[in-house]
Amino acid sequence: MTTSRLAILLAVLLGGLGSVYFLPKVLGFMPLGIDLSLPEGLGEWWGRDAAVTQHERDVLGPGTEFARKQYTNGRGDVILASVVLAGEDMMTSIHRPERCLNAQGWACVPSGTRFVEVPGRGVMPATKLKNRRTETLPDGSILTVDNVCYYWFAGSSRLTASHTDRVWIDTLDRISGGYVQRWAMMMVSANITAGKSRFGRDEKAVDEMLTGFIRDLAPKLHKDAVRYR
Amino acid sequence: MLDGLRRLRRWCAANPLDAAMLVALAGTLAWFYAVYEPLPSHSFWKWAREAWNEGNDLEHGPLILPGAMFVAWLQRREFAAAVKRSSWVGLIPLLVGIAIFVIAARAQQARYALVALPVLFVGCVWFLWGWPAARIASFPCLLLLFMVPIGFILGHTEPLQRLVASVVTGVSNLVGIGVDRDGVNLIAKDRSFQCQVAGGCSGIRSLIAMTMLSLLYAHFNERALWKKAAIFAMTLPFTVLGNIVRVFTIVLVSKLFGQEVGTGPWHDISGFIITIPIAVGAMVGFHELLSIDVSKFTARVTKPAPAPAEPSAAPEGKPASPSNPISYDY
Repeated sequence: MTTSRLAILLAVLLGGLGSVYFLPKVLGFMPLGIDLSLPEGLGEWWGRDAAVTQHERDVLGPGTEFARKQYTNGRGDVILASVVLAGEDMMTSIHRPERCLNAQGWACVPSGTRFVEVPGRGVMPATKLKNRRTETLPDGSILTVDNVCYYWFAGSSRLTASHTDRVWIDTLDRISGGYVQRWAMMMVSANITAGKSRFGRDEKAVDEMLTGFIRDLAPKLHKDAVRYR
Repeated sequence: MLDGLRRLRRWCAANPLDAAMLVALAGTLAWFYAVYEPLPSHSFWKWAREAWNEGNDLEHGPLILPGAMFVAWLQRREFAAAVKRSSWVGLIPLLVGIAIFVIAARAQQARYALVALPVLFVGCVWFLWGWPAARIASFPCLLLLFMVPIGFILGHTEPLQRLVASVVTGVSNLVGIGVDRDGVNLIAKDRSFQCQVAGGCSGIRSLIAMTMLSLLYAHFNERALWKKAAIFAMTLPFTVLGNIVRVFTIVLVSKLFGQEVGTGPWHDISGFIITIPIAVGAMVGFHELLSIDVSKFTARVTKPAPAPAEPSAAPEGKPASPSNPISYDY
C-alpha cells in the first residue's frame, strides 16, 4: 500500500459515489393508471364502504391512498374489494399482500396466476391465493375460515400479477426513464361458504364468482392507457 | 488484541498521512451509506435497519456487520502473511460496486446498495493490496450479503410447505397419530388439534440461518473447494430434514399436551432445539463422511493377502501356533 494508491482510491470513491449528487433530485411522476374509486353498483353487486384500519395507515408509507368496499348480492354472497394506491416512496407504500395477510393470521397458499379475459380490453393476469385462518370459539371448538383472494398491480400503463415483476419494472423505469409510477394494488376476496350457509359456494364456485367480478370491475378501475395482454 | 491496537497506533504515528486517508475512506463509505438520503428521509442504512425485521426473517441483520468484522479479525494472521502488491485490476470490482450504488440511488432501491457494499470492500482491498489479500477478505465480505432482505422469497415457499406437510402427515399416521392433510394444514382425525405449515414454518427461517452457518463451518473446517461446495449445497436438504422433525414434534406435542402447547411455546422454541441441532449435526456428519480417506480404504480392500509363512519350529514345550494368531494389518 502506498500513499499515492490510497489517494487514488479515495478520489475514485469520492468521485464515483459522489456522482449521485448529480442525479435528478426529484423524479418525474407518471400519470395514474387507475381511478381510485370503487363503483357502488356493479352488475348484481352492491358495494358499501369498508373501514381502513389505523394500523394499515401507520404501516404503509405517507401518501398511500385507499379505497375499500364490501359488496353483497341478493344471494347472500360477500366480496371484499380493496385498492391501495402507493405514495411516492415505493419501498414502504406497497408490499406483498401475503405479508399483511400473514400478519392478520391467514396462512396463504399461492395458487398460481390466473388470466381473466376482460371483454373489449384483453386478458389480465391476477395472482390467486388460497387462505385459511382458524379461530377458537368460546366453547373451545375450532372454526376454520377458508378464503380465496385475487390480486394484481397496475402501473401507469402496465399490469402485472407479481410483486417481484412490479419491483423490477419500476426499477427499470426509474433507471432508464427517470420517472416514478404510483402503483396500485387491487385485491378481491371472498370466503368459501360451502356447508356453512344455505347457498354456500365451494372453492370452484367462489373462483368463478371472483373472476366474474374482476371482469366487471377491471374496466371501471383501469384507465384506457393501461395495456392488457 | 491490545498488542494489535498498540501496533496500529505505532503504524499511525509513523504514517500519519496514510492513516488519515484510511479514515477518510471509511468516512466516505459511512457518509454515503448512513448520511446521504436517496430515499425520502431515509439513508440506505436507516432503510436496512428498518428492513431487518421479523417480516423479512432478518431480525439478526444488525449482527451481520460486526460478525463479518469478527471473521475478518480471525483471519488477520492469514491476511498479514499474504503477499501484498497493489493491483490496478482492483479498480474493476471497485467501479462495479460504485455503479451498483449509483443505480441503487437512482432507482431508490436500497437492496442494491447493500449488495454494492461487499463489492466495494473487495475492490478497495484488491486495489490496495492485490488479489491474495482480496481473496482472504472476500469471505467476510460475502457474509455481508446476508444483510440484504430477501423477504420476497417468502412468497414462494409453498412447495416446501407442502413437502413438509406431506411427510409429517405420513410419519404421524405411521406412528399412530391420526392426521389428515388439507393443503398445508394438518388436522387431527379426532379434531383434537390443527396446525398449519405456514410460510415461515416451511424451513425458510432456519434455512437462512443455516446457510450462514454452513458457509462459516465449511470455510473454517475445510480446505478443498469441492468439499466446501458440497457442504454448502447440502444446506437445503439438511434444513428441510430438521424442519420436518420439528413439525412432527409439534404434532406430537399437540397430541400429547394440547394445541395451545404444541403450536404455542413449543412451536416458538423448537426451531432452536430441534431444527438447527439436527441440521448442524447432519452437516458435521456429512463433512466427516467426506473426510474419510477413500484411498486407504480401497488400498486395504485391494491389498493382496500375504503368503502364508512357513511354520517355524516351535520351541520345546510350546504350541506351534504364533502367540497372536489373529492379526490384521491396518
